[in-house]
Amino acid sequence: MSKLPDDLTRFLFLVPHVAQHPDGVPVADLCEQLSCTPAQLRRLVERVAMVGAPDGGPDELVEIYLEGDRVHVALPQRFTRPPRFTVDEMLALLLALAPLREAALPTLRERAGALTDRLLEVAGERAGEVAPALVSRLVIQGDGDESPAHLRDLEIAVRERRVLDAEYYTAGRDVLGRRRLAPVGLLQVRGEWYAVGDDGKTFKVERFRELALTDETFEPPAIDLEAIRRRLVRGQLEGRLEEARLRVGGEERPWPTASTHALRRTVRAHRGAAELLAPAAERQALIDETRALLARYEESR
Amino acid sequence: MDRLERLLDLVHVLQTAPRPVPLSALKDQFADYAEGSDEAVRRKFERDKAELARIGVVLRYVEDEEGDAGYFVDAEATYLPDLPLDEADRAVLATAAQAALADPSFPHRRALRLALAKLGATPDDAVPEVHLAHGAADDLPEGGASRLEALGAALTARKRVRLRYRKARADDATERDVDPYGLFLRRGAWYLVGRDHRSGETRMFRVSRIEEATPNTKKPGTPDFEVPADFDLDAVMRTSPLRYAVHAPVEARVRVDPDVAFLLERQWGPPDADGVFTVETTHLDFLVDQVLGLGRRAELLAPPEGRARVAAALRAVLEAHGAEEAAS
Repeated sequence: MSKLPDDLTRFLFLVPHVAQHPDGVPVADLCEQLSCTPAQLRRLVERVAMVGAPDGGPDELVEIYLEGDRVHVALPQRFTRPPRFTVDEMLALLLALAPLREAALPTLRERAGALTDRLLEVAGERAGEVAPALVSRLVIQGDGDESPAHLRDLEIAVRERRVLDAEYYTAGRDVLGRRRLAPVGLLQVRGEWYAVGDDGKTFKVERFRELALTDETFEPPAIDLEAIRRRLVRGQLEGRLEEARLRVGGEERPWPTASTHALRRTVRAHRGAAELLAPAAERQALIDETRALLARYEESR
Repeated sequence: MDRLERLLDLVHVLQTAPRPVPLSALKDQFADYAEGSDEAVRRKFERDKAELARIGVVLRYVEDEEGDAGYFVDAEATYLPDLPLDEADRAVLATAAQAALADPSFPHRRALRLALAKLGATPDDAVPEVHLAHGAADDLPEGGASRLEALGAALTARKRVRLRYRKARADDATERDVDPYGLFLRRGAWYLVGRDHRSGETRMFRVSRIEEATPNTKKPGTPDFEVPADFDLDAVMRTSPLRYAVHAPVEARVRVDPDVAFLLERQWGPPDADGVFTVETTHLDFLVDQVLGLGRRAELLAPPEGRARVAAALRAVLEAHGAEEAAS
């Protein structure tokens, strides 16, 4: 069952929005915008079909109706603009824009900041007063430990299609090395920035020790950044070790992980509460490395 | 008459009338306002006015020069003016919205969709080279998103919440009342910060470890607490776990290989000429975790207690792998 404020809000958006479309608007599109089911939308349209002055004539009513799978508004009366943003709407916009407003990427930060100011100017009275104060109590991550200078150079390289000369620490192999990087995009996942190379490989920005823009340019190939972002969200990185198995808390389970080094870090972090069962070679490597580490601490200092 | 219909009729009447409409005239038009005493009708009208204010419809009361008085819809304060968005604005908005809408734990997702629709924007025009992902949903157990929403609502209304909370590595959950001061999302995990009535202190709770969150439903329109004026969520969020108040400050020294030392400089400050970092911490165990994570690349040189904890952790790892006998 819909709540009264939801129905009021939906009506006040629905009428002016649909009135702008002489051929009506598909129910499915409206349900997406209004976060409701087709049945809820149909009920709402039925309930508000008689809105107008209680003692007025039929031509003073808002005329809204369903025809097939489209909603039509023939007479919007004076409902020609949607209401200004409510507290929740303003808060949602501020929260969604927060990671960009605070990003170390200069162009994005400036655009997001300017847009936020303009949105606040058109907020409703209460939303304009309350939402900025509330947003200081509801915070979405800014950047991680990336160098702002590196992010700036990466942003320039992506925009101007310029190659970078980079020194990068590959955690999976535990190696610091120099490489040429032609970045086609930047992704922020869980508050951490990644650069995407023209071969689709991802690089954690905090792991660049040095970055220098070169004069060499490149033609970016078609790379599906959204697919890479989804892969990163799921933690499915290249060189992933799929066959790893751990026993944690007495329970044996698969533990696919980014790399052998990440696997060792995980086992050490459990401080004896986790046992690496497979692969056998990696188990032995972990034991050997742990013995070597322990030897350092058993030497007197 | 259905209340939804009454409220919408009221808006219609008050925005189309040529002059402000007194309550007495509304009584003649609306059967719902014609019943009961004057005081009861006034209370009903005030409740309707407040309901409309919640969704942004501003009713004003004025007296004109001829002495007529009444209500009207302040259209300028109520309705969204035209806000032209250029391609860059749309791209920034869409980039932000895509990340938020892809995250089931994002608070006010429905409100965000409607706000975008009001602006005539869609999440499909994102900046082509930049994508965001909050990645917070993975951290939340089943039901976590709705608990987060309940916490967000309690925070907005300043209502106390009873939590069932299970600390990390603890077997049992405990119950406590918390005044929610703030919520933050960092590195894919949501945290609640608030005054914990059990300890009497401001504490941080990882939302994924909250098993139940029950807001106080008594006096829904009245806040249960004030947020202290000096509360700074941003400062809390940016506090390194090394500064969590677990014990008195100790000075630790860590030698790190030059190849990876740059990874730690933003957290620990610069190392000395020998590649040794000096770190003051009130949470030595966290530093021990960091050193264990660095493996062969780092050695905790001091304090001795920290070295002993690293050694104990390594022995425990060997023991778990049946290799302890060859360790020493």
